[in-house]
Amino acid sequence: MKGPGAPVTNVSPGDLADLKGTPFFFSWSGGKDSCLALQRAVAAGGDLRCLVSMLDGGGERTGAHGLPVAFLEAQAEAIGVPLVLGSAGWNDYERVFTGTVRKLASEGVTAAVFGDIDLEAHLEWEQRVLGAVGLRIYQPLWMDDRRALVDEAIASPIEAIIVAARAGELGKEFVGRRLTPDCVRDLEAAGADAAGEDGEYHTAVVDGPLFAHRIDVEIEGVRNVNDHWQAQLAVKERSKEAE
Amino acid sequence: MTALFNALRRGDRPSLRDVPFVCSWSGGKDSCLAFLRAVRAGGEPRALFCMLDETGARTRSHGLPVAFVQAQARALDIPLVLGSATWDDYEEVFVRTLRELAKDGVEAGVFGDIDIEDHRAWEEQVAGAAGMEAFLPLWQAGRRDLLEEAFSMNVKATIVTVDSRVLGRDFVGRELTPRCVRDLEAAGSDAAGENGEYHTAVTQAPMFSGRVDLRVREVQRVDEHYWRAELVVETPGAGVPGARAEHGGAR
Repeated sequence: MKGPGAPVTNVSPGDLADLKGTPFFFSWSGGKDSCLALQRAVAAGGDLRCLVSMLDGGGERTGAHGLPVAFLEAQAEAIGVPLVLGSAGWNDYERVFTGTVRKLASEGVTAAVFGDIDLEAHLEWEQRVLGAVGLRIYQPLWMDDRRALVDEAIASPIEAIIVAARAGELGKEFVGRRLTPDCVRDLEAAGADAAGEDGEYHTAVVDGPLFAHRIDVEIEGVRNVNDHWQAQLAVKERSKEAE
Repeated sequence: MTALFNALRRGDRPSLRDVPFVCSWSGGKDSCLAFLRAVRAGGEPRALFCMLDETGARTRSHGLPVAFVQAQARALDIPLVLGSATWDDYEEVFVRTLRELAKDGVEAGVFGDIDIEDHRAWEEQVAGAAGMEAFLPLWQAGRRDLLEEAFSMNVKATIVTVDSRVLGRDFVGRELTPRCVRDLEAAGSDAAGENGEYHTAVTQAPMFSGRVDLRVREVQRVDEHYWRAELVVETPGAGVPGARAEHGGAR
């Protein structure tokens, strides 16, 4: 008897047992945690319906990762799943996100999957907003060891590139580096959390087991945006589209 | 050079990099996996090629309605080339079609066979007759490994025909999941159905712009041995919506 509006909260978001066969959307940042969480959700037998990405107010890039829409589209194409975009400033973020989610719920989606690791504040927000729409929440990475997750992502193999780094903690030279074991050691030596869960750095996944092919990208420059080094990422056209 | 060609033919590796290819397409999981491996190897997909029965209404190998393979091709945004033939003129039609593609610059034919030597020999022969290389990306791959690969890539496939000598009709219409594979094996089928125990229709895969929905209207006995799903293709005319159009308004 789960009607829309009835609060639905599952107590342990990391337990994926009843995700099997469940139509879900994935809240997609384009980074390694998203990708690893999505792999786990798919492996658990979840029925992936679409990726949802929120863009900044201008509608051209994702907020924290600063990824251009064309890159998200290339990821969705490689994974083979529709991409649903919402565009919002921080003021109307909740309203826009809720509207998007309601639409998906009306189309049969009953669960939302996120790639958070241990940010309680995020989880509370997600439970409140999605509970109001009647969606269950799954967090495949919930409370896992951050370092172990990075290792798992690399071994998976997920190929991720650092596209943003918090200036002050990390030097500009980290931007554009592939996330490899060497890179992780350098990040830790620089004092960052290995997983970047505190926002020290963000990544863009260019290849992984769910991808049909690698996405060729070029970093056209590195800008300083709100004290973050941010890569200006461009997708190189694939030959098929180039014809 | 010979070593390179042999490797290319057998799908060992080097490369299809930037080689324009056509993929022989049944609509089932093996041709889809072969296609994906060819893309992964850097090949440039130019067309899917599907042979139909003599009426032109269904695919020759899996008995799928044409509308279904058309919807798959739209989802992949790759041209679909159809050939229609009886078993008598099958090879002639096949070679003629490959020659047309070769004229348009296609250099390789990709096939999804795993270990049937006769098929490989035939494919090398017809590709050769059209001046193409045959490329078999799944050749000698472990069948269980291929299923694992399909699951890990979120490939979804539905069983559409079964051989009644091995499997019951209740398998028709089931989605191929790890659980289903266990049941198939318990029933005595090869896990991958390589001996024709079952055939599948792929509804979701990497590079699909959206799901190709199908519904099983009924299950019919088509000949002495086979149960076949009569499919209703759910999204025939709607096209497969692109990323943003998906939720733009169609519903």
